[in-house]
Amino acid sequence: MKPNLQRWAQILGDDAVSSVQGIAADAGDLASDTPVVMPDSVDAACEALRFAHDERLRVLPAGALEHRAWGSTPGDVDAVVSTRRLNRILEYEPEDLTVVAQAGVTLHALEEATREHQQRLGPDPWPGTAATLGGACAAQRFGLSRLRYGTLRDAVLGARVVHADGTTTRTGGKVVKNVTGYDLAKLYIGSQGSLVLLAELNLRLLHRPHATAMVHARLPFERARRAVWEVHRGRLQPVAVVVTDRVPADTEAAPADAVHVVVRFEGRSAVVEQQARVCKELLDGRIVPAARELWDALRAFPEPRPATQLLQVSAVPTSVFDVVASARTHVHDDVQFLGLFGVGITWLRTPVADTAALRAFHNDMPRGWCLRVRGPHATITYARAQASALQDAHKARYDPNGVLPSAPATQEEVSP
Amino acid sequence: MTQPAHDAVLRDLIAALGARVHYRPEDLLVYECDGLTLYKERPRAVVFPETTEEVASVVRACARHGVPFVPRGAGTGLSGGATPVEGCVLVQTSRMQRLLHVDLDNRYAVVQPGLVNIRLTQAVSPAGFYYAPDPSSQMACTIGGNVAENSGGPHCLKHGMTTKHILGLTVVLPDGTIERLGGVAPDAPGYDLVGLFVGSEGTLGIATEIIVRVEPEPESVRTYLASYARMADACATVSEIIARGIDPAALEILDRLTIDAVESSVYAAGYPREADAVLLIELDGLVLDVEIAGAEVVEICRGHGALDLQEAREEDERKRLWKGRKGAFGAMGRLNTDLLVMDGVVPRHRLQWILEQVYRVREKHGVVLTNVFHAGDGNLHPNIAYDGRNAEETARVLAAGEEILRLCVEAGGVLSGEHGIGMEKRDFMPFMFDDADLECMRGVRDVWNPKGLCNPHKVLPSPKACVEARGRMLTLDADVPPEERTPPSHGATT
Repeated sequence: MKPNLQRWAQILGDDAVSSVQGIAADAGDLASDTPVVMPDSVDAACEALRFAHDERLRVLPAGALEHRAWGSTPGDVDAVVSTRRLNRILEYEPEDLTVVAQAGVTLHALEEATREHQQRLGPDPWPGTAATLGGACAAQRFGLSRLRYGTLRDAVLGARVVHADGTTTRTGGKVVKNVTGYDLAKLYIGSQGSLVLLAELNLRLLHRPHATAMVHARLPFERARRAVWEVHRGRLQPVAVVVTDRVPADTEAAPADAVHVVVRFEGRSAVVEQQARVCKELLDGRIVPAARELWDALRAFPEPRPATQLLQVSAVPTSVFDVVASARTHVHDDVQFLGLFGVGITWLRTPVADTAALRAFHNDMPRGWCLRVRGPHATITYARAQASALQDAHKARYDPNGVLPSAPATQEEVSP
Repeated sequence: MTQPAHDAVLRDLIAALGARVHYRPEDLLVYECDGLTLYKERPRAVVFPETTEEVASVVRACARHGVPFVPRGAGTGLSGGATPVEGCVLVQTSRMQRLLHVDLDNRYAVVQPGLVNIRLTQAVSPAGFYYAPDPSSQMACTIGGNVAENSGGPHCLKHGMTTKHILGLTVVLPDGTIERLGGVAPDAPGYDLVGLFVGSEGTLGIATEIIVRVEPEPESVRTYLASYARMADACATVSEIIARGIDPAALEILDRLTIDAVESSVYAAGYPREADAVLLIELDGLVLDVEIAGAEVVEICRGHGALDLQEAREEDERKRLWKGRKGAFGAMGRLNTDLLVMDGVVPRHRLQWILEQVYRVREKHGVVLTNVFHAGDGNLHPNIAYDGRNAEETARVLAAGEEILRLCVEAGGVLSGEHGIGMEKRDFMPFMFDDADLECMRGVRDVWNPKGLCNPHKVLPSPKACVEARGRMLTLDADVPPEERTPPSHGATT
């Protein structure tokens, strides 16, 4: 029999236990009465997982439970172990540009804590106030400025984790340069809670830029392609080159094949201004006055929305236009899209689940490309699997009893 | 000498590679160690494969016969990562040095592991690109070796370590299976096995093809050399440069003894001998960016009492200023026959403290110690010159080295910033990690290398060494005068 809320409360205390219904507005595919345990210390998290291990339970590590679409399908879950009460910043060294934070610290809280020293986490993973560091790392989130700032993989210096059997270990360190031992943090980031529960994260920070500027142009598809290539091959150093089908407040009637190009610069004021001017000429565009509003709107694109599915294509860095063209051919001629030129990530939003179309789109992809379909509650990945036996062996090593969710699944073919 | 007639694995290797299998003692001598000359072991044989399939056949032969194997690039490593182990086959990648593919539009290249680091940059330089990781040994070290050690170099301060520049790998696993990991498209499915493999010191398999990121060369590069009457002023300059968000490409400090050794050597670069420290600062980026940052750097250097400030805008001048830094280790050859190069890292705000401790350790153990370090990221290289034929001196040198690393860890730092653990520091791992941490690493290693044949006895200590190391860590406080102890800065419990 699955332990109920009272049983969990006996182990962790009343304050540490609720239900999915009690803390999440949208339970998604989780039963609303699924216990949510919220340890307030690493020791308590160890106790929770030890209990789960001993009782042969299946648990889902989670942060705020707000962005389930970026995780894998957990299957039947006996409890959620949420890090929302592991929410302290333990050490902050502005001189070193490093911070040690518990996994339940929200991205917003970290932003606020480092603002005084004009510092921030480089990768800007996600809008919204509730997303946690642990959740963002487990899902390997990144932001639109990935071209310059990379992903959380590049920002994590070390971690303390809780294992499926309730033990705890550390990996990495707290300094910005370290090759001591195996870099296990690389395994954990993006593992979607299938290997460990992330408890503490040691992170590298960056200085906030003195200035930002964005250049926007609306161009016909092929002209946009040429212009973007010119930016890419030139001397400009944008933090992002975004190609999208629409921007907010774009009220002018647009040609059917119009594409919006948004190029973002960050850095010293004089340098940003100079680059923006050059870029404006290259794109025949305009420098955007209300940059923040536009940027926040673009950042919100990759979030799942009702009655649609979000496809995320990973391809070669300059592939955005090819991906969009293929999607228009195979998936939907009016597909919504946002791509990061120079990174190789393109998001496509389409009506839900025309599997035949997805299959045709996937088959059109060159080898090495990867398609992720982000539904409301989980992500399914379609790609040529890599080192399957090795992948499985890591999962078996870390979680032989299957306490944690399954490894992120890779399907080679879109299912019929 | 082992003869093929009596050695089944040798017979299999010769069947696979023919004359590219060396087993005569006179042919094996130069492979007895890498850049760490403290430990030497003659391999059973050295093989020179040229393709992924040949590497796989070598590894399968070793696996079949239960024979350990050790991959080796140029042998420039400083931690014994490529030092042979008893009875091993050394897999030498020097015949795998081709540049297989270049795609500058997508900013990547595919190389074989034996390609020398600088040759990659030289190959893409005519098109205005370069490969950013630049270890000091880049004229000789290989990309494969860089992958194994997650190598750094002066410019990793701004541009990142090797791991940031590796997109994909073809790897021969310890059972001879060939796997492709990662790729040019970002976020390959599954766990980040590429990220795990980079820096695994050749203990998880052998990379036979490597997809590397190449970058456009910066529009402008400017190099400064500031000299100081006090090391503390040089360190303070570094702190302020970082604090102001200037984002330099490199920040390197050399101490007085190093300056003296360099200026007395063929690497002489015109560093002022009267200085207690020199600080090499490099900026790169857009012309306007470098111009503005350069003005700030000059102001900061003068503000902290720079005795002299040289500025290099042309390539020749830049090379001159860097010559001394890049030749610093070689210049130590003037001091004695052997050199132990330490590689600890401390948080930047502990830099001044650790330097004082390092000099105290020098006096305590009576060793000849110089300091060169990557000041921007807190990565020290105390270099101890000694005569390796003198057992007593060698013991003092090793004791001094260990004490320095213990102090680095005590200050919240780590054992290695870029040279790796190898053999040199494996028994110090318990200074940083407890038994559970090390067991977790062992478990991951065993997933790839279950029979322990791939570069064994590296990185992770034996259980006995763990117990001994923890005992030595407890005596650390006795070594540091009370007024100089720093409170622990890590390990906050929750």
